[in-house]
Amino acid sequence: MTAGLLAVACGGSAAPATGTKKYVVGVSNTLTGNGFREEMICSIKAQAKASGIVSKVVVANRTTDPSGQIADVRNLISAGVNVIVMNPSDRSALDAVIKQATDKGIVVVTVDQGVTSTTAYQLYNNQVKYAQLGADWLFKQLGSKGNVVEMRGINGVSADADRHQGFLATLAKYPNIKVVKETFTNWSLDPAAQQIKDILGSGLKVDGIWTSGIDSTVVDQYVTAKKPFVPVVGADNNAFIGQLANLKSQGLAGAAVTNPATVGGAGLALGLDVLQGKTEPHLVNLDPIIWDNQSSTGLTELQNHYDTKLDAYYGVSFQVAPWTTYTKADLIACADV
Amino acid sequence: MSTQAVGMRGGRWAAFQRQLQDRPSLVLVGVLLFLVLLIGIARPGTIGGTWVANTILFAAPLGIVAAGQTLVMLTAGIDLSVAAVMTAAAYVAASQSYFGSIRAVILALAVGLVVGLLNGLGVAIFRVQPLIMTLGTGLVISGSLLVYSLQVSHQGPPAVPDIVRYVGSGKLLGSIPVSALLWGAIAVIVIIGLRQTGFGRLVYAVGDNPTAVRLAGVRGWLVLLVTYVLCGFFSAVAGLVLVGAINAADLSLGDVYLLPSVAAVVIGGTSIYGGNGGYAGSLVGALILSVLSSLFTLLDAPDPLKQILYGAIVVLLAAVYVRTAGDTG
Repeated sequence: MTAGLLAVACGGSAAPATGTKKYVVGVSNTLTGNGFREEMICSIKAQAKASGIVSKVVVANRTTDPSGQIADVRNLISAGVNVIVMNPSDRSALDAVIKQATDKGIVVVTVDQGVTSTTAYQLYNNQVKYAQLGADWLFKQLGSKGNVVEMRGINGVSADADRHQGFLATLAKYPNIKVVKETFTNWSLDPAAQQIKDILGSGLKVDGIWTSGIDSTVVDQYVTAKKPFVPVVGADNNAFIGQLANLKSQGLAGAAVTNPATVGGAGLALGLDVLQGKTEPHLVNLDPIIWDNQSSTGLTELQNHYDTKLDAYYGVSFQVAPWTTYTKADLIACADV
Repeated sequence: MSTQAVGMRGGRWAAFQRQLQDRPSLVLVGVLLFLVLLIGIARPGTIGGTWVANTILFAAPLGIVAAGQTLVMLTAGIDLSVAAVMTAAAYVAASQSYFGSIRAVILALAVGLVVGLLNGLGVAIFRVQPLIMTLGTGLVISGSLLVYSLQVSHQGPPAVPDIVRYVGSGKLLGSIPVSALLWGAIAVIVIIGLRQTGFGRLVYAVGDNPTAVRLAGVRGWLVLLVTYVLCGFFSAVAGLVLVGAINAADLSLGDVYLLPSVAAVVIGGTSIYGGNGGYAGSLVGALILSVLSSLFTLLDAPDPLKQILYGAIVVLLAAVYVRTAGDTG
């Protein structure tokens, strides 16, 4: 309601102040069947509903490459959308089509990953810092010495490259920490489980594990193999958060670093602000937060965010302050406007 | 003297080759043992009872899904929906466990049977190309699963049912994986079924010469239909075993099994043109692929090099197999 009034009040620049003007939102995503991406789209729908000034959300969601995404964005332009929220599949290949959109007065917001375009608004998690926060906690937890395993994401993807860069930068400060194994999980559960099984079976001495987000699967393999836990760093995934809160008494030490899937909703909030004539920065870098189960404040956060009803890999950063305004129930319901 | 020695060596080689032609699976077992030996060299002390048990445990989902894929490929078809069925069965089982383990398992298996039936109807009755038919149903399942995950599933806490967890990662007497026993039982049924039963012979016949089958008055469509239903069923079972081993389901859990399910069958010597091959080879093929991925985890090599080696070894295996076992196509 307030948002609707705000739209009227600020409608002078981008939208005519008719009072009933509603915006059409376009969404472009290029990876389906991925929990993070689906939650991202749900957060856009939830924010669209919460804003009260969106009439329709048009979603172009399929597994494709930059050329497919360019076609999808062209279709969104033809569909007459006012704002496009996209998870870019390439850093530079989409610049031309982004310019086509912005030339027509469409506000383009890229979320989750960056682009080289200067006309787009960008909002994403600082992935270098994501890795640094977790690695620093892990190395300190190990008393600055020991063997660690680095379980990365997909080789060649920018988020993975940024995180690896952050990991190495922190590693350089701890000369007695040794990386004894580096694996690529491809952010899939099965390869991660097999890798841990192989590493556990090889007799390699492992004192701690840093993961790029396939976390509870690693802990599960320790449980199955009946091996004593080692400190594990993961992301803000529901099952992992639950493990950190509930398995602490059984000796599991660990920390979760936030990487909100709800950047989609935050991106839409930013785009709607711009449509209504507000000045927003072209680059918004979200600072990740770390919740560890060794400190009382961290443990409280872990317990507060764990939701037994959600899937194992549902991201529990339900809101991105100060951007999102929807309710958690609307996010999970994922209903259309 | 020397020529005679060469001749003898040649004779022995020829005999060895004949032996291999008679038992092509021996070549594969040799390759498997060689890879195990490599792991023993790369990480001494790794190979042991626990390692063997864990390797079989993690190879079981691939081995079981390859059973279905073998049947379909023997009929000169292919099933590209197996990975989507695995994922769907796993996800349905985890999300329905709130209502009881039995209901969860039955619904998960039903997903496989229904998809198999659809594939079978499309291929056998409506003569849709298997590749297109199963690619299409795979996409339909993935999309439906997404809707299901958003609209239906959050009625209770998702959890892998205890019985599924036991089958996927439990061990009998502390060392024998339950999934290995299930896999073994399926293997015995499929191998004997293909060799000893009328249905088994018809599967080969439909793949080898569908026209002759039709002229002989056999209901080839029924054979195809049953084959695809079996493949759907085995895929669902594989999905359950997988989610039991991993203890969590997401919307892409089984995706990584699509190409290996075909690769295990091809490495195992089943012709993609149908009518030739069998499950014993696929079984060893599944073990080879699992051991190979273990080897690459333990090997300290750059990731791109590992990818290159993996691809090259799969191609090499298929080529060596044809050279030693004779042209199976």
